[in-house]
Amino acid sequence: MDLKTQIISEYNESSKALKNGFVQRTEAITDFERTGFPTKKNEDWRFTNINAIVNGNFTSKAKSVLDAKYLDSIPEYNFDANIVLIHNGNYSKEFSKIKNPDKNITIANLFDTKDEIIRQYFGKYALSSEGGFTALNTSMANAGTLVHIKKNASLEKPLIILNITDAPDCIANIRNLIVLESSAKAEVSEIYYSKGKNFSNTVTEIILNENSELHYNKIQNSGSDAYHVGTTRVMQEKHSRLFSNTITLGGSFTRNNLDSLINGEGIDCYFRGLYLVKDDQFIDNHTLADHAKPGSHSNELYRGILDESGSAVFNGKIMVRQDAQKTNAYQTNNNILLSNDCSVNSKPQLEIFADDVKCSHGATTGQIDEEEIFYLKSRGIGEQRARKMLLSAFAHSVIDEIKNEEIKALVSKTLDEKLG
Amino acid sequence: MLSIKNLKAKIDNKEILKGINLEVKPGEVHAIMGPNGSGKSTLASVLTGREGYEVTGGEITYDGKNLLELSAEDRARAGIFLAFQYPVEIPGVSTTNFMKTAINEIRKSKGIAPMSAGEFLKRLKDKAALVELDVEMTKRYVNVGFSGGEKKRNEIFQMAMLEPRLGILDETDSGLDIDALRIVANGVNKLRNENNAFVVITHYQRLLDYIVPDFVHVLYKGKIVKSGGKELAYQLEEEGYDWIKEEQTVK
Amino acid sequence: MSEDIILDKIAGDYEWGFSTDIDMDTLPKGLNEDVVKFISKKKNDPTFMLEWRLKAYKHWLTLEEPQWANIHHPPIDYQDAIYYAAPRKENKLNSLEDLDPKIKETYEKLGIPLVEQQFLAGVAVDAVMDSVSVVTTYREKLSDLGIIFCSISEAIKEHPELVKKYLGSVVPYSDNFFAALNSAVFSDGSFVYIPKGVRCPMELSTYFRINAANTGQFERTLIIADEGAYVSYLEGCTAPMRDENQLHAAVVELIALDNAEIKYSTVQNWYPGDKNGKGGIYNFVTKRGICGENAKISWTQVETGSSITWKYPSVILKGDNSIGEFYSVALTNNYQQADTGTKMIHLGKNTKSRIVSKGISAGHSQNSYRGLVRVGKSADNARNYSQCDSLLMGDRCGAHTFPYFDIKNKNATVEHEATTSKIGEDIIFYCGQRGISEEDAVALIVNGYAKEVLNQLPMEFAVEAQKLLAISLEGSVG
Repeated sequence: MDLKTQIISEYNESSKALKNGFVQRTEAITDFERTGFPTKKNEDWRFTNINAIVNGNFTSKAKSVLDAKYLDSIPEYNFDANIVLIHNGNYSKEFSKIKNPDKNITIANLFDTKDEIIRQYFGKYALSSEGGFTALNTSMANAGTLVHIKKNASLEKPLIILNITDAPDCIANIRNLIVLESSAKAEVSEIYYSKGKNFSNTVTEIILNENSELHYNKIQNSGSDAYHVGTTRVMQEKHSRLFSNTITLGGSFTRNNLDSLINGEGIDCYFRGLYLVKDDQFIDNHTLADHAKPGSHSNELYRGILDESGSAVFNGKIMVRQDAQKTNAYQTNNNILLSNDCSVNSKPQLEIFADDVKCSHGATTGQIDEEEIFYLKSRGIGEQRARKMLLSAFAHSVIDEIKNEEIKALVSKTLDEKLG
Repeated sequence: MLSIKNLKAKIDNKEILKGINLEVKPGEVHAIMGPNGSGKSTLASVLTGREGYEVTGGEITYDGKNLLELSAEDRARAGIFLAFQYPVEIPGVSTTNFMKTAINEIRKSKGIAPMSAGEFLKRLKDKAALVELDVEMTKRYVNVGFSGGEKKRNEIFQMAMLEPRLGILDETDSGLDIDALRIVANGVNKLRNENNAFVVITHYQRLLDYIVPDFVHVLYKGKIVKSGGKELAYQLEEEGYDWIKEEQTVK
Repeated sequence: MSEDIILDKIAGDYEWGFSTDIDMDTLPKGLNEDVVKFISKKKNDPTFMLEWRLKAYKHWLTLEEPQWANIHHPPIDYQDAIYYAAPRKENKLNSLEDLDPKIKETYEKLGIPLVEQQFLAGVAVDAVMDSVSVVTTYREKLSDLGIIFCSISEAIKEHPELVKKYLGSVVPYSDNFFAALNSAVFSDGSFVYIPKGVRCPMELSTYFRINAANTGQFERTLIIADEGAYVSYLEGCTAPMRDENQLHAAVVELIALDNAEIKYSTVQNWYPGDKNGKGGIYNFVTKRGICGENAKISWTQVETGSSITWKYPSVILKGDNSIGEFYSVALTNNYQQADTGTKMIHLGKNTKSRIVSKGISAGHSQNSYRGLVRVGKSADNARNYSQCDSLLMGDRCGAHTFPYFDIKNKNATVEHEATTSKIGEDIIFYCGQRGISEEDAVALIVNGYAKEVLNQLPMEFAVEAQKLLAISLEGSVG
């Protein structure tokens, strides 16, 4: 049975048991039945082969069995933060560590919470009609996090949504909703950690109201047989600030979609990303900075290091709509290729419908500068060491933007190990 | 040469100029001073024909002609030059090419044949020397990548090249250090003669140490509220604009 | 050079919108196997050509029109077009004096100097009226050097070995929908062969012209520069004003063998449609070249015409140390749509490519750059530099950049930069204050912006291109 048919049958079996409250489920499964998974004919999936997922015999029926000792071996679990634990697509209330400091802040299981805000925003910016993976998520997701920060409130300790997937052939459909009311502030990180073969499919919707500020990290550090498709849709109102870092160091197949609708003036939108691909890993980042209103700023920097048979896709789009005069939008994608078996497809796009704008993008693909290597060697540094230093410096221009020191240190350490 | 009578002008439906009167004769330098928002730059814009300004009353005659009927380029061709407060950048067009085009357009409007390459080059070198501008700068695109001071100097260079009859300097001194200010002012002084005139718009008195005006006018809330000799500028420098404002309130 | 050219003021409407009344030998509308056979017979094709055309036609039937470009138009009814039209007089002329006076007049209006001075200007012209080659000049001088410059239909008859070997070798009939269509029904075009080590002493030039209503135009050009040869080829086109959209699907193939160089320049100003987007040419062109070792192919294009342009002149850098270049100015105004760019396919070692694309959008137009840089596994030390700039005038047009990079070699260096700027009222006022009218200011800025591309054109083309840019943008600011 192919995955689509299997999912539809699992949905029909279990839909009654799925936590409801979401009318969107029925609509989504119909959408999914209609569209199925995307194919290469779709421009957004042109370089992305999802056969391994579609033919992957995944199931959404995995259970969660956890113990504290196991969790203690995962460094992120012990960070000085609020921790939401999602295990095999289930919300673990027992092992989550949430210190809701005041009534202005809600961190809870999205599917087990009554909050008017859910009805207001759920499915509003990530539409199931837009693609098979979102439709799949909307119909099947049964766990995820609601973050709701009320007006002027600030989340004191950062939040880590730790997604652990370790049941064999498990599909984890995870759904998050992050709403910052005006002048609210928070730091939220999605961290992915997996063992064995499995597939996580996440949709995160983020609403940043006027003058709010979100630091958002997405760290993928899964095992070598992990498949991940993640969509993050952001809606930004005026004067809001988004600082996002998308770091992909692990996994067999990763597709990150990150879109922001820049829907007011004075907005700052930062997209930063780092990817390191080795073996036959595949990493695909699709981003969209969608300037719908005048007078805002977006800035994107994605850097990638490719080795062995790894391959990467970068597709970054800046859209400046007709009303969005006085937009400043910048985008850069840099890739370093270390082997002749790796490949990169980069597609930085500008779509501009307004005339009074400053937009630029740049893309480079190349190698480590041999002159620089020589310079380091002439100071007595060994060749291997010199290469690693330069690669590390290349990556750190992204890593250094991560505000959370513990996460930054962990990413640095992992990168260091992976660079060998 | 220039006669402004009871000039009133609006932008975005807001009245900025509320009845300006000014007479400028050949050989004269007029300074127009005033606090921020008094209408100084609006006056420069209306004189040179910038779009978006609606003249609601009064008249401007220049050499006996109704200036308000002329397009921006026809005013320039008639010898009115504006040194911009914020000169724009024109990527892809070198200052040399820009000036050559301007000179020949102006000549064409008068039925004069284009300037020969030799004559143009000579003028370019002479005028660059006059404003202490490196000739190499004229090969660069108009104002692209120039510092604030370089842009202002380029404005004066262009003025020298076009030899206008009426030069209007709109806050040419703002953003200039004392050396640049001296160079710019020297350039203007060398261009002064009995046939041309200058209107120097400034917020500060210091430019007037170098370009000595025959008349100083104070613009406040869209009207010239005080006129005098250069001593008026010193008074403004020492006492600020508050006494003017008070005087007006009392009235 | 181009900086010093003072622009002429030229009237605003499409200056070259007239049509000549010449008896046409025209097929009824529609396309089927018999039409392909008719064209082939009309052209006195040898059997191998007829077979090739029929294979292409059968393949075309299996294809669908591509949908991925950023262009929008009502569906094209391929059965509603006429696939063959030729001027009656097919016999070759002994001298220019024998030319049909109407055709001569047409060319004079176009500014093609079909007179002796042309020889002094060093231009040989292969003029194409609709689909049949009418007159070819200076062939003898060229043939002394062993250069073949003739219509493709002549080449098919007189040099079948070259045509057989190279036609479809760079753009096979199966390449894409429009290339297949062209392969089936092409009626004429140009053929150039430069023998080993010969440097063609003059610019070769062809002027295309669509002249009959509802006539599909399917030109086929094949240029072969043998080892160590050099040729510069100019293509220019203007079309008379017509209300109905006309389809144009040309194919150009360039073959630069080892150490050879081909420079191919185009100034395209087919009728773009009127101010409301009515009429205009649909221009779906496949242009591609292939380089041997140390060879170089350089495409330069100035695109101001057509209501729709779909065009990606490309270079396959097969030989080691070969070089590909693409210089383009694409200007769209009113309701024009352009989706144009290039493909640089690096296969050989030490191959280099350079892309300079300057888009100018005004009115309600949509202008897209779409380019691919591919570096294959074996292309060690491949280098690419791309610069894609957009200039916008007015707030109802769009400028889009879709570069694709597909890199599979670790020693490749690929760099891309893109910027967007505008001509705004502040710049127009600044120029006006210096005595320069709006029209001249736009011309000045646009020519400065496009200079890097215009400088690639031969002098006489650069002048025409500058005029075209200025004419096409009249009244676009404010």
